[in-house]
Amino acid sequence: MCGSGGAGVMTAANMFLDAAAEAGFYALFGRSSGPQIRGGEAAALVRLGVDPITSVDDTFDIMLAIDWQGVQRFAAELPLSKNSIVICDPSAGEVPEAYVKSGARIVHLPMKDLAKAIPGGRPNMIALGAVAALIGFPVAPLTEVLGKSLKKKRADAFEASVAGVKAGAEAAATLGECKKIGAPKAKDVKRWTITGNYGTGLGAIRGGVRFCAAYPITPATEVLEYLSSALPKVGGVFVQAEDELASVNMCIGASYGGEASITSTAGPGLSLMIEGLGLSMASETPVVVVDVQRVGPSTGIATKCEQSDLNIAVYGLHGDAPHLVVAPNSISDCIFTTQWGVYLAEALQSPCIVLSDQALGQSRGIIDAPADVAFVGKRLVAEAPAEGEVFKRYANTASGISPMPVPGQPGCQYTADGLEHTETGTPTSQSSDHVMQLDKRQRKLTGHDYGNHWATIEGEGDIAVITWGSCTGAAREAVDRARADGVNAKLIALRLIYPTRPEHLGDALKGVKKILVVEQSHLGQFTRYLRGEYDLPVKPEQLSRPGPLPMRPGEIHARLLKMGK
Amino acid sequence: MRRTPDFESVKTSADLLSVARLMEERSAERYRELAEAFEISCNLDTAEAFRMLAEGEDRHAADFPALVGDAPRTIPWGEDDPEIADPGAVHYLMHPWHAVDLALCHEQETLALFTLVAEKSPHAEVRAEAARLVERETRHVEEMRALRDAQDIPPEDWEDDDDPPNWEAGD
Amino acid sequence: MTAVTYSAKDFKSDVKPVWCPGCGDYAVLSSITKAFADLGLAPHQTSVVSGIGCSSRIPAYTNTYGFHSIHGRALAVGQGLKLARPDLTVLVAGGDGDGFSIGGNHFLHACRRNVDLTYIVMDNRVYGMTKGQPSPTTESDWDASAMAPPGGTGMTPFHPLAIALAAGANFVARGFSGDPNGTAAIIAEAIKHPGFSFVAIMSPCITFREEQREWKDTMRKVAIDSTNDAAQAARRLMTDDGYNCGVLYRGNRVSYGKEKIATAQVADLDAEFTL
Repeated sequence: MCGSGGAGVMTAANMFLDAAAEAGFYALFGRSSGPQIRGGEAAALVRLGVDPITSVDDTFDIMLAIDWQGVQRFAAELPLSKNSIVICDPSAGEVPEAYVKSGARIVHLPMKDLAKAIPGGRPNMIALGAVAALIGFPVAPLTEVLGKSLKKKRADAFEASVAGVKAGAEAAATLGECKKIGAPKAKDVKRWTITGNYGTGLGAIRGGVRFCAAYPITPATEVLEYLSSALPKVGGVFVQAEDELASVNMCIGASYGGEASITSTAGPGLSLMIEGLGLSMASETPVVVVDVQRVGPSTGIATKCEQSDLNIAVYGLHGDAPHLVVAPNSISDCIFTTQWGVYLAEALQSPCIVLSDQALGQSRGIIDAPADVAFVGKRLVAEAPAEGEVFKRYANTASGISPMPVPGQPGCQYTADGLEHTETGTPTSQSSDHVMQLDKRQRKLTGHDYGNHWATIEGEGDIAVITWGSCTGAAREAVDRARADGVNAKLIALRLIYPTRPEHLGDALKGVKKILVVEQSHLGQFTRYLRGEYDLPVKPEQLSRPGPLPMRPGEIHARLLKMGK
Repeated sequence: MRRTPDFESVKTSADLLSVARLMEERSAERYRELAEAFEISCNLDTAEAFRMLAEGEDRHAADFPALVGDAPRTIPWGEDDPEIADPGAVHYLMHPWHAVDLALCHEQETLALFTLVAEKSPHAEVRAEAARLVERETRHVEEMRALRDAQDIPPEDWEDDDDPPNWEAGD
Repeated sequence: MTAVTYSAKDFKSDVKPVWCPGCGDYAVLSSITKAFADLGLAPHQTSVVSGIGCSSRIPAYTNTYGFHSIHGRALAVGQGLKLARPDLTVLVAGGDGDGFSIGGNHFLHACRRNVDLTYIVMDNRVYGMTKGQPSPTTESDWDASAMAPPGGTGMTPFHPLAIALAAGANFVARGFSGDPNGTAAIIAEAIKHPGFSFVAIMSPCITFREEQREWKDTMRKVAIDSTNDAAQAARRLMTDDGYNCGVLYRGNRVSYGKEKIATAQVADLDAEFTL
């Protein structure tokens, strides 16, 4: 559904999603818009179904254009086929060539005229009614949602909208046949509607975060938007910092004070935070940094997705600086993985980078309610040393984890330091101290038991599809389709990017004859990382592309069929 | 920065003795800090001289009766009381002679201060006690002068520095 | 229970400073520990946070909770700590390069934000740890170091006090390392005053700015009473020769941050997303 700003496509699509949720459907809702703050062209990209949805589809069944202002800009993001229907207003002028070329059936719906006939009527409500009727979507939940969102404002606006939806639905009869949505399945678990970025915020709080300092940046802003209102409710603190350098260092200060802390950013901000992450790592003061990846390098394309911050996240710190990097692989998993990341950071006294991405962060999904897991951050607390003994903040323990005091605790005063230090925290330049602390900091990460959470593994087969982040949804759908075609593949989506789990991946790849790596990066950063960090049994094939176009199931499916021959 | 002594605040002989004792103690502490600073910068002869001076001040402090009541928190003529060596008056290459000479200057300033108190204090009891302290400090000045003259006189080019300043790697 | 009182010595650690003999920072360390003791604080409820530079070594020399962080970011770390732990006394300390050059932006916003902490800058108008480059407060024509361009930088020196005042600091003062007792009193006042308190302490670098030894003759105790009128304070500062010590401005802004009160359980947050 697209149109220029003010046409109300986003409002209509949001209402549609609310109604779908009400009716028991699953959905995935992403958006694409021009760079204008107000009035720019916008497209609401909705996928609807009766089963859980974690990926965009190959093409859209319906494209509804209220007008064509600037919409050709989205042509590459709005793939159509000859089975698609383009619904447009005859008054909007010529259909852009890219859409004509697709072979889609083009039909006219006089949305503006129909709206005019209703006092207070709006074209977006006509559109909503038409699309609903076309796919056999029930009217009752739509009316209910309209009531919820409009009645409070003005009764006449509600009446006008209901009338608009009705008029649109009636007019849909002239538009011909379309794929039907079908009846929703019974709900066995409660459903949620949430964006990945809000999920990240929620996961952080579930994991124990009570402090956030952050600086606005697209596409991570919604994480701080959520935390700025949610944190105070649970007794936490939110600060908008003056820049990303302040954000990460404020978090480190708060964490030193005993509060689990988080900040959120995107690539440019992560670049600025790197020195702070080194401090967190060396001083063993935990902090969680969410990077909602967007197209890079530099300012890149701020509103679009790419998986190209992997290198900086894993290898960006100067010095030998092993640290945690985790990556969610669905909207729902943004909740879990962030919570787990907080838990790990606190337990291991390490910085943790949560590599989310724009496609996960800014998409809204209707999902099964996530389980409330038990991962709540807890540090190994220090005890005051015996009389006459010195407190060793960086004690060389077997696990590598040294008990950490909370300021205010008598007898455990220490100075946290980014300078290499002795066990007591005193700066040192001696090789023996350096080696001891390097070993200790590495040991605590590699020796930890990460359980089964290091990856999402589904299915069995001769082929393994290794992927991560938002590509996981498309890869999953491709694996399912390939299975239906008789080609069996195993999906492995890495959640724990660093430290690596060579033995675990080795076990998961036992018996696998071919590997396909799926990622959204021009350099193939994930493929290079896999080949550099793991002994893969075979040389992997690579299916990668930079943003902003998402990886779609069809192309992965096609490659799997080729590999399965 | 010099302050005018606050003669009024020292009212009794005991007040004055407490202050005098505190001055010796703080002086000892400062010499000890200087000794440590010179140890860190590897000028061990001068460090040793400051240690010796600190011990001397410890003995001077012990000459006074133990404090009665609360120790004065501050000294009525300010922190820059004469017997405290100014950390800014030192140089990392200075010789033991310089250290003792610095101590001599401070003893002389202390003597001058107590002389002033003996003249100007509005309290007769304090003037009398200050006069006794003047005798005592006169002895300290003479002892310190003898100690300084026993040190080797530094060469004229003692400040010439063959090495450029070092810096901390890693900060 | 009898209250334990701590002396200045209890606030010093066993780690010996690496500063040059004669460095002003020794006296600042003494002033800070004296101020802590005079205020009746306890080492474990006090924290000293710094960045990088000669003076930034100071946390290790105290027996408080300390953080020796990274260049220019001490104020960020300190503000985060104070906001997370309002019960602690937080003192942030460092030098002129750390605070006004690489950390300049944080300085401005810390003044604006007005978190209840004290910021001490030991100003010696030079980068000592890297062998004598001009800093933001260096005189524009200073070229005595091989590290300075001939004729000086030509750049107007940063005016920390005027900038702090303009940016909204709630307490502005100047101290001198050669007056440790006076400086300790100023620091104690700064800690007691609510909001962001800024104390610039002239602390000579006798290695790279030997002429600063003369400060002991040129610095004076402030001859004027402090004011809570920012306009008056600004006028004084702009006609000041930089040698007057004392508290120049005491503002009455309310400190940043609200009391932390939980009104919901974590599980309550689910409701927003549940259908």
